[in-house]
Amino acid sequence: MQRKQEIAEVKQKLKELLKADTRKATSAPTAPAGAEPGKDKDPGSTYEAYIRQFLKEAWTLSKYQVGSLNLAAEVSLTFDAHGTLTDYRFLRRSGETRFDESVQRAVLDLRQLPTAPGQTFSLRVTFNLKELLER
Amino acid sequence: MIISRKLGQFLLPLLATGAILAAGCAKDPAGDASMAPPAAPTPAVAAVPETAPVPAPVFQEEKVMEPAATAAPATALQSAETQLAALTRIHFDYDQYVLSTTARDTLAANATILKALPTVKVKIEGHCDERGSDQYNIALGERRAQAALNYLVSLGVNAGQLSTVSFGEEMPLDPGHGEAAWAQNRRAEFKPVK
Amino acid sequence: MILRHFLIFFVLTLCIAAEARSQVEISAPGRQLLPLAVTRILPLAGTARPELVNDFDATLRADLDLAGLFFPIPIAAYPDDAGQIGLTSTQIDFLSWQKLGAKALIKGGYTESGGELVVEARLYDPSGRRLLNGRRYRGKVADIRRMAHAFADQVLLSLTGTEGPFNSRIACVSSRSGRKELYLLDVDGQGLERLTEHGAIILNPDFSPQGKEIIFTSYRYGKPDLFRKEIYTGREIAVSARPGINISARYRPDGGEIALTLSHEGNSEIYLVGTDGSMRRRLTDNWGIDVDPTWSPGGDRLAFVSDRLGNPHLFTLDLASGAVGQLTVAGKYNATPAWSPLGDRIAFTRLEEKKFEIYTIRPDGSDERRLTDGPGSKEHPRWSSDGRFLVFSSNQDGESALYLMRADGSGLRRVTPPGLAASQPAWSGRW
Repeated sequence: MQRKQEIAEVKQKLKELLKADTRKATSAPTAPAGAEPGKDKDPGSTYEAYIRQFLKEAWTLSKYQVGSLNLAAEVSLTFDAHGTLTDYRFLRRSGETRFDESVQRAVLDLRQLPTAPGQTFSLRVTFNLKELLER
Repeated sequence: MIISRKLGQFLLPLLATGAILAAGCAKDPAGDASMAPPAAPTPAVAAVPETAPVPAPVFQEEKVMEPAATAAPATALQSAETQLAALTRIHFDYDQYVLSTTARDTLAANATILKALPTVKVKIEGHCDERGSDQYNIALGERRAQAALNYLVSLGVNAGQLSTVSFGEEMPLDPGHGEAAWAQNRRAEFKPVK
Repeated sequence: MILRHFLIFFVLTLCIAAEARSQVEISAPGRQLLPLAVTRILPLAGTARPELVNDFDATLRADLDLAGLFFPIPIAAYPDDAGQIGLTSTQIDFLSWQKLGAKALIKGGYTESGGELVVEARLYDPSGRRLLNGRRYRGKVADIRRMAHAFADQVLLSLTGTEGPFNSRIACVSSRSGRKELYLLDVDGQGLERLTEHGAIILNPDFSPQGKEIIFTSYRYGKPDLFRKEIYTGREIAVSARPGINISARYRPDGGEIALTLSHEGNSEIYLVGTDGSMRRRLTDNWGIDVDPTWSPGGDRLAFVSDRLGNPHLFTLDLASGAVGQLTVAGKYNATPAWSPLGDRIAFTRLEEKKFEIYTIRPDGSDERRLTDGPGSKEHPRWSSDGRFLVFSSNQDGESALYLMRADGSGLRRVTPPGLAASQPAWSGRW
């Protein structure tokens, strides 16, 4: 049963990846649920939910890849008015290569927002393993 | 053939001890702590009751431990052999090497035999039950053997006659895994050195 | 007190203010297993040997499964590229693997000719379209599983930064011959070899950290003495045969000296001796039983078992100062400590309702965790050289056998085949 679920997960992932590819090609991306882009002055908060959801799903890391669970990295993301990721910077690295690389990969997967925010904006994302620590 | 001859060697003294014991026990309430080790007028009085009625494991155990014992002893040594066969093992509580009153009584009887045979050397083997760390048990088994040795020496046995070895949990008398087996296996044995 | 509360409040307020706008926190990866594709190695030349491929594939998969960091992508979902021989980055259809979500891809090839075997194995990152690790193994057909173990170690090196421990050996005691003798086997339970023929009782092996040498206790001469054996030459000597007991010996991690329990001075104490058995010094001095020393990775501390407070408990000893500290407080019987090569935890056993369970604890006595449960006693935990795994013996399946698990207690699996009656394992370094 677990195996079936895992296969379903892979297929889902596959769909997502395909979606990610088409998104780049087409100019009419669909907005994610719960992130209705409005004309707010702060596009950062508008896209927060989408970005959190996307990065969480894209972030792949096993606890067996790192020597400690007390790790955190902070990344600043900058998007242009079209919603394209134009810059990312590590404000703080964890110091563990595997952790930082996994964060970087997740960030690089997020190339394009589903809708154009209409103005440039930046936001900061912290990656840590707090949920794993509690267990 | 060999086994049956050996069986006879051990069975006779055991049965004899057991019989005298049974008589002694009936009169004498066992486990009276105030009865400090009496000067043991006869070995039989002080012998341990619990080991006497279990001859079967004794033979199994002897087979493993003393393969050399099948060599036919010279006639002159026969009586020494017989007496040594009466050396009785003692038992211990879990994770303990303290000598119980019963064990002290048994040792007193053993001391009488050993003092009567000053040229005979005996190795005292310390054993444990299967519970616990095997390395810890080797150390514990050694303490049991040493406790027995020290007590024998305190009763006047020549220390030069005695040595110790610990087998930890490696040579159980009873291969079972229950309380009864464990109680049997926590012991010190007295083996003549050939 | 009030000041402190105020400060905390102040700092919290600042944090909230700073986080108020455009700050996102992600407190765990959404995917905590790496999707991995392990394709079957393909014949590069000559005839196909599917049985060899099966061995390689099964061994590699079992090792990577134990590692615990992968989600194996179902083979049925593999793209056509799985059946294509191309082993270089330019020849691989990375996009098809990317679409599948594969974060790691293993491809390989082999050539077998007259019993000689060459295996090429590669680990790729499909999204980065790059080679992460490539190895070529040359040997005999019979080496195929060990080649797979060696490559599994490399996969772990590439993906975690630390080489795996699979290309190693486990020593154990078995009474298969009727007597307890020493045996050697691979981490998957294969390749069993008997090392001793003492016809007595052999106990408690420990590998030299440097060479293919092993020390153990044997009753060969009628009492427990310490022996050392060179595994490949077969050369063997009694290292310490002092009066009394010579037991529970452990090489210092640099291999230079051995800690063990001796009783030649009357009481069971822990001593330090040279690898030739020559006396260095006595380390403990207590009326109690002191046994089962285990070294900290730096060789500056020992954990050991002592009944000095009544019941067997774990203690630590600082070798420079001689200071002894109590490590375990709970339980009535704690035994067989094993200090992780990473230094952060000490594994041990505790008697719980008439059977032993395995625990770990930090060297400062904090954060005690129970790793095992279920039927049977679990004893003699020992670490792999990378600190990832533990091997131990248990009678949970009715007979004594060896088991492996991860350092957190997950991934339990049996190692030894039925009928071996194995116990008291030791895990070598990389072979």
